[in-house]
Amino acid sequence: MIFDWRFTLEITPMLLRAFLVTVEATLVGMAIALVAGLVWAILRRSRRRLLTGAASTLIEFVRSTPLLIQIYFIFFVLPEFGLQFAPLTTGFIALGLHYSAYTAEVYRAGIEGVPKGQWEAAVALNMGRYRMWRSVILPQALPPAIPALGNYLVAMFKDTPMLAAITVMELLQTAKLIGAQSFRYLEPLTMTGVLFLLVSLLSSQFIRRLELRFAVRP
Amino acid sequence: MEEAPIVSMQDVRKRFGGLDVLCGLDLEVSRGQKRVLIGPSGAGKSTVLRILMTLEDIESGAIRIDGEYLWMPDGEGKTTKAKGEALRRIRGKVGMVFQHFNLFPHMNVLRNVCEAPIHVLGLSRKSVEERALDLLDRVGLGDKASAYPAHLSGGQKQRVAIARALVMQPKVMLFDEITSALDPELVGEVLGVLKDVALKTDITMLIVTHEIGFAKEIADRVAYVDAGRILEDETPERLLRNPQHERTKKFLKTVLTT
Ligand SMILES: Nc1ncnc2c1ncn2[C@@H]1O[C@H](COP(=O)(O)OP(=O)(O)OP(=O)(O)O)[C@@H](O)[C@H]1O
Ligand SMILES: [Mg+2]
Repeated sequence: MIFDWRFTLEITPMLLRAFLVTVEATLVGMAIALVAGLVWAILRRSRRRLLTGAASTLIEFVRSTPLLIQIYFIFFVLPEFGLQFAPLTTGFIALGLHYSAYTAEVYRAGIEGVPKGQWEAAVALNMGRYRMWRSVILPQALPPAIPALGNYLVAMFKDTPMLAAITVMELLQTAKLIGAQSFRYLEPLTMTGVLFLLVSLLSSQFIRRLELRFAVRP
Repeated sequence: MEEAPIVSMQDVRKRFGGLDVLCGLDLEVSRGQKRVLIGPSGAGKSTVLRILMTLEDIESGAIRIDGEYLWMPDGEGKTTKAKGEALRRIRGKVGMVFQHFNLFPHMNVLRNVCEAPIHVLGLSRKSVEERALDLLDRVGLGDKASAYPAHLSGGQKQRVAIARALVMQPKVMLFDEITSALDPELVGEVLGVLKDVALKTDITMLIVTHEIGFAKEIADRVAYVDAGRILEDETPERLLRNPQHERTKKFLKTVLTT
């Protein structure tokens, strides 16, 4: 079998459209993971035992079960309790929730890196909890966390093919479909691999830049 | 009628783990007083200030600041801390300068000073910045407003920290060994500012320091703290010239000879 360039050109628009779905799932999933993870990390610092406990349990639970099970759970089990989402929406939620457990840990490391004296200075200036997080803690906790968060973005991108399991027409699923219909797997799968490779390489470059920019503090 | 003390601590007990750090400490500070606390390492001086700044909790005792209970005993050996609005109100009357400055490294000097008055007191940025620049001038840092803490000397950082506390207009200011982390040649500039504040304002000041000479210059009273209690509490002249306890004598001998 030789690589058919004409066929490749023919299927490219379809693959690119599927690629957009993959990118969309990654970006929306990451947005959810960034926000939810921060919420878990801050809840963990709460003085209320119940909140700390709930956040820790959630993180532990999500981290100890496979993403695929979580995807299935949201897609097949939640509807039995009246919560039904479209496949892609399920993908956003599953990826976002799953990775929020990891971003929460990254945030936690950043927050713990802020010296005790900073919290005390904020108290001495009579700052409330919101002001303390907003003005003092997060501006110091977030920059060192950025490179690690970038790594999870790439990891999430590479996990998007799992959404095929719930019929999301992302890149890999589309490639497989093209293969099944045309009996040619070489071109669609190669193109898929190349697209993933390109994005991963570009992201790694980007993350290295982030690391240089943020990892060393003044 | 004598005016009520602005700070009053009665029979305050504090433990860290199994260690009794304050063992029934009493302290009254009258309005405008400049009170110095001296004593050996581990005596509990910092703990006293940190409790007043609401950074530490206590086991038992009563604490009032400007007439309000920060810790109110229930008469059965238990004591409860002020909460919510009341706690914020009390905390707003107290300011603190720390040994290690604790400036916000991601903000320039002006923002370090302005952040709290703008967002905590809700004052307009313009009026706060004006006042902040005035204060920075007063501590000799008028030209450093846009510098970041990392580019300041220890003495400059500590002067910013003093301005940052002053701008909140607290009634009581706490100073915890604010020159101990400084190179010797930088101690003078910070003590100079502290003295200026002591002489030109009516702010009540509680100062923990090992600078006995300085204490003598500005203190109305000096309290000698030892093992979680105040052992002696006198005018500086009397305490230095004629200490009553053996332990005070010994302590003074060590700090005066080094
Ligand atoms: N967070 C803490 N956990 C446990 N023990 C503590 C803590 N903070 C203070 N201590 C202990 O409490 C005692 C009193 O400490 P404190 O810092 O008040 O002493 P100090 O008089 O300020 O001494 P120094 O002159 O060394 O600053 C010490 O024995 C100290 O080890
Ligand atoms: Mg101390």
